[in-house]
Formats: sequence, C-alpha cells, structure tokens
Amino acid sequence: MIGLQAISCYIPEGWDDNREKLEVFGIDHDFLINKIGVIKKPRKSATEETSDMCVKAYKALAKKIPVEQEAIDCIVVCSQNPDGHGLPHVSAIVHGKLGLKDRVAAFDISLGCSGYVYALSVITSFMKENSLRMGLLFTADPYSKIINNDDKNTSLLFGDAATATLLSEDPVYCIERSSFCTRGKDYRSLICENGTLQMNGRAIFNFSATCVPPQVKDLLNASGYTLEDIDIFIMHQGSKYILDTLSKRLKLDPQKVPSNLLNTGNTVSSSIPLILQNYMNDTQTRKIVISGFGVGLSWATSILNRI
Amino acid sequence: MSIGSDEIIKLMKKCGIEFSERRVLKNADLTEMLDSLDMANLLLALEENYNILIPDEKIKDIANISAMVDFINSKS
Repeated sequence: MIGLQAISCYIPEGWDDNREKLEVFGIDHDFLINKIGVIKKPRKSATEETSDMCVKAYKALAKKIPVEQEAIDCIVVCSQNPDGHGLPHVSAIVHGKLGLKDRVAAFDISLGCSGYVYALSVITSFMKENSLRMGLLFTADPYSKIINNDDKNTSLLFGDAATATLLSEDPVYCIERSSFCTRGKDYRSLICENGTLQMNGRAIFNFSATCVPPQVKDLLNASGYTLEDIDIFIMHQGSKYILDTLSKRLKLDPQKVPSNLLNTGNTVSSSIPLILQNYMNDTQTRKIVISGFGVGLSWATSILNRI
Repeated sequence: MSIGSDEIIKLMKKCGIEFSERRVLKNADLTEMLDSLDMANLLLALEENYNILIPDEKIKDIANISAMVDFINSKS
C-alpha cells in the first residue's frame, strides 16, 4: 500500500516583517495578529529558484530519515511559480540537481492552495498503477516572485517555503477517501496578471466560507464519520480570519485546527504538509482531514488514516 | 415580513464582529467602521440569511444600517 512515510520542509532564512508595514497600510497590531494572523513571512533569496527550494527540502528529508536515493522512481513538483518560465518542468530540474537515475517518472502539477491534496492523490494513484515503489512529492510555490509589496490584499499574507513528502510502501498515513471541486467561472478572483498577483478578498472569503465546510461534511458523511471521529483538521492556512471562519462554520474545537500562520504566512501548497509533518510521529493522531482551497477556484479534501 | 436594525445588529454579533452599537445605530459608514474582513463576513451573512445577492458595486449604497435595512426589505 502506497502512502506517506515522511515529510520535511525548507523554510528560507530571509524574512519580511509585517510589523514594519502597519503604518503604510493603515492597520493596527490587533488586526495583524487577530485577523491576518501573520507576523512575518519567510522570503527566498533573489537568486534562489523553485527547484533549489525543492532540493533543500529533499536534503532536510535525507537528514530526517535514510532515503535510498537509487530507489526513487517518481518525483512530482506542485507549483505555479516554477523556475524561469516553466519550461522545462521543475521536476526535471530537481531530478537533474539530485542526480537521480534515468528510470524516474517526473512531472509537475499546476495547482495552488488545493495542490497538496490533489497531488497526494495523483502521485499515489500513479505509483500504484505503474508499480512504482518510492516517490517524492514536492510543494514549492514562492509567491514572492509575483507579489506586489505595495498591495495590502496580498503582501501581508504569503510566505515562501518548500516541502518534500516521501511516498512508499512503508507508510505512516494513507489516503482513505478524497473529494475534489472546481469553480472555474470565478477564476479571476485570484489571478496572476502582468506578472503580479491580484486577489478579490471578498470573493475569496465567500468562496472559502461557503464551499469548504460542505465539502468536509459531505466527505465525512460519505465515509460514515462524524466530526468527532477526526483527530485533527489541517486546513490550508489562508489567513487567521479564514481559519476562524471555517472552524466556526464546521463547529470545530479550535484545538483540533492547528495553525502555523504566525511565522510562515500562507505558503500556498506547502501550508498543509508543513503542519502535517508535526503529526507523523504522533501515534495518538489516527485520523486526519486535510483540506486545501484557493486559486482556480479549486478545493480538495482528503481523509488520512494512520496505518 | 420586514426587518429592522435590531436584526442586523444581532447578525453582526452572531458573526463575531466587534463594533460600537451606538455608532452603527447612528448610521456610521460601515465600510469605514469595519475592516474589510468583517465587512465581507457581514455581507455574506446578509446574503445567506435573507437569500439575497449584494453585488460589489451595491456596497457603497448600503454602507449604513438604515440603507441596509431598506435594501433587504426592498428584496423581500
């Protein structure tokens, strides 16, 4: 059975401190902490590429557990901010930088904040179908490449980070069931135009508040579970306001909804694995819901079971 | 059935929005009084509660509680 064996991350050393922007944006400390929920965001260096971030996440993985590099036969990179103009695909560049053998499947997945949930399902299915035994799923979507630092709507939110998830036949967690949705008619609500990210805050808030809770509830119902059966709900870290709204609408105990926004911000497809890695060795956490939502508009939820 | 200001006040409290009731009842401009997140939350609550649509371009016309009440009553 293919599933998640280990997760590691790379957080760049550079930072962008939101407290320095309070006056410029006309906001107070209370709004920053209690609504946005982000004090500082990691920022990659100007010369660091998306593939470099993936390689550093892999190196962190190799420090965490012994990885038999020769046995890797599949790598997937989830990103919408690739190296250069996205040609070639980042996964091929990572493959080259890691010096992997030729007999490795490598492809990218172009998704944003729902990306990790989608990509987990894609890579596990792909590996099963093709009898592959060891895969790496990378998330690396450095929005600093497309953020306008003068835009209050977006510049306080997004942080740069990368993660590496090892998929193998010796899993800690496996996907039990998933649900995927898309609302393409509203694609303009979160879009990169002329190289700059634009976000309609009200539209994204409405989408998150009205689409995510029913998907989570429907998936649990379809699987015969109640909210109480789930140990932890790892929601995409959109903002503190969004997380609070989702917790309230799903009537979740806030203790069951972990957050790492304060010092990492919204790291797009990396936000879920950044939190999930903390539960890999927690044997008390048996059943986890992961839910990602954002650009597309796209939203996806999975139930993970500890093996 | 028409609604009054008290329904809007109750809805704002239910949304967890912190606000000065006195200022709201004095018809303060809610787009200035509330931050953008609380305003989005309130607008969504109005839409869901009264089964109406509030387009972005309409917000400035219903930015105080009296106008909001009138707008909702005109839709029901």
